Amino acid sequence: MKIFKYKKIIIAAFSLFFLTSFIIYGLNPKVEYKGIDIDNVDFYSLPWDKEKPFFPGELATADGKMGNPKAIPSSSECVKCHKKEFEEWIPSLHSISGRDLIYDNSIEANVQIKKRHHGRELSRFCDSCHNPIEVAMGKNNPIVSVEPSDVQTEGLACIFCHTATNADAELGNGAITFDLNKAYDNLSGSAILASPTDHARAFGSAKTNKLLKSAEFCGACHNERYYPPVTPSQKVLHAQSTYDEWKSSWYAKNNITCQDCHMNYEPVKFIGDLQKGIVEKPEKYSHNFWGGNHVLQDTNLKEKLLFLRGGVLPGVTVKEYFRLIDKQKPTTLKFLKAAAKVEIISKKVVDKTLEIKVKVTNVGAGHNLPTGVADQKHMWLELRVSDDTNQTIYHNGKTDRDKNVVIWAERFRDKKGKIIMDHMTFKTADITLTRPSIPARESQIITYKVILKDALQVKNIEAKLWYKIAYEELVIKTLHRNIPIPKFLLASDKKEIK
Amino acid sequence: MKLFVPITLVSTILLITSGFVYYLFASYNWGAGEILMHLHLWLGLFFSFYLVYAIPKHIKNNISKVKLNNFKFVSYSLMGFMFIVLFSGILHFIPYFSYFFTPIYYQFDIYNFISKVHLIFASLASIFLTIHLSLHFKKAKNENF
Repeated sequence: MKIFKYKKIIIAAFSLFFLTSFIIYGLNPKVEYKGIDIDNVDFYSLPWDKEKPFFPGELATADGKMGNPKAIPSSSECVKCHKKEFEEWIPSLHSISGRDLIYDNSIEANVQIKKRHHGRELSRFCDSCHNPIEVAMGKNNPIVSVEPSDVQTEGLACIFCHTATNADAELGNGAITFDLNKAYDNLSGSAILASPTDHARAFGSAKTNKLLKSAEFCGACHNERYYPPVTPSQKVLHAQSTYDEWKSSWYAKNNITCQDCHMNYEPVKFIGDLQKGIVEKPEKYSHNFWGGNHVLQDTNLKEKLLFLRGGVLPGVTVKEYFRLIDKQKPTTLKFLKAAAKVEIISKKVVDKTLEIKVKVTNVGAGHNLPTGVADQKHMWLELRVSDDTNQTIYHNGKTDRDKNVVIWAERFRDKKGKIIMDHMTFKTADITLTRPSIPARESQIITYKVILKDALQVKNIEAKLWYKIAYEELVIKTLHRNIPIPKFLLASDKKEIK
Repeated sequence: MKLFVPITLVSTILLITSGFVYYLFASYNWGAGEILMHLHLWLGLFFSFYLVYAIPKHIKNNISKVKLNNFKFVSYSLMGFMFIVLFSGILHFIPYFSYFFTPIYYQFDIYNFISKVHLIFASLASIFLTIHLSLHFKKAKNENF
């Protein structure tokens, strides 16, 4: 082998490489981020189960350790390559689930009523779903010894879902295990794009990708149970059963998952197609997380919206923030309207009594209507009967506080049975329903009896189904302002009597 | 073309060693591994341009002297492997460079495929380069050109 004619060149090349490598490795000490042992989080309080550091929330980290604020990246670091996904997520409620001012102040109010009974530790229950990264870094503690970081302010940040490894929807209350302490990149931006193996290690495990497509993943937070020490109840209270409602619905039986509607690029079309019997699951899913909170996307509120949403998120300017919310708002409104239908199905006069039957149908939602924590989210029916001069003969449900209004809501009650209107979860001893919520693809018929002076005077009957995301008491409690919360028209029907 | 062999040899050795060290040892020290990767990518790019310029001349100058079929086979195989290695390398370089403008990237599965192709054909190319040079000198000694 005479290749060694070039042995000087070969030796020089190898020497050059090894010398360069030696210098590079010598000048770059190895950096390794690890999770933090719970014992090493100063003053971390564990008043209940020592094995479950985030109890009463059901959240868990895969390695059983707390998150390292120095290592875990903000969603604003994902934007450079995942701009589209980031811009879809930004206007959603998931991005502000922890910083939305009403939520944040509501937590504070709940903590205060239990301040002598581990109120701050109890907030781990709420934040396990609303702000899991903050919980997993040990921030929900009477003495905060954890340094702040952007990702702690981002609610359901990218890294939360994209490192999840397990979810238990039956258990609910944030029963998600996530591999928080592997959620960082070892390479910088451009290098990741050349060699994304390490990025896949952090955020793209097959287990995570499979889990993210399942309804069980969503159900781990959208099933909420109250029991001691969170509440003084004697039994398990079903505060939110959105997943259970879906599980027993036509949608679950036909494999239509939460993601199919709430992460669809064309959710209204998809819902319309389902009503026609066409089931075409989306090929790609969006990060818009279409939902029922239209107020926190109402850009007409201008700077008040910014205030309510807890300020602007890292990675966007105020102008960009409003542009993105504006872009998402119309679909949110249409999405809400696609859920319900109202029909005046009969009207007859018997002995000067007008009997009107109104049918309210859950036509588009894969869960009950209303759903979620319905002590705040509620809907009610308005019925107005007028004469030929448009003078009101009968009016019920003008507001959600009318006497005998037909309303779908939960009522939180304290130990004395008194209704709690301001979402004081920590003093909720019982939950009752004003009337059962409407399951997917089912209807309720409401009968009104209107006593008339003159049956011939009735000209118009109009029924409207209204929706409101919260009661004013919650705003008074959290913002100390008496601000009316806008109602939203879900559906209506009008009949003229000839 | 006097420097063709030294440039090709040095570049190939640097690319093969840096590529393998990154592949095998980057996870032991990512910071250092990343610097090696930057060097590997840029050197690979310049070497690709150089080969596009130099290979046609190299073939033109030497093809008439080649009589042995096995030498031709090894040489053309080497050229084919080099082409695949450099092409798959450029497929890595495009997303890397795009980061500074509008990032583009592939699915993980595509990355895995490209990386495997790059690694396998780089190994084959280095073996065939060694054979190519060996045969070349064997023939030179036997005056069999």
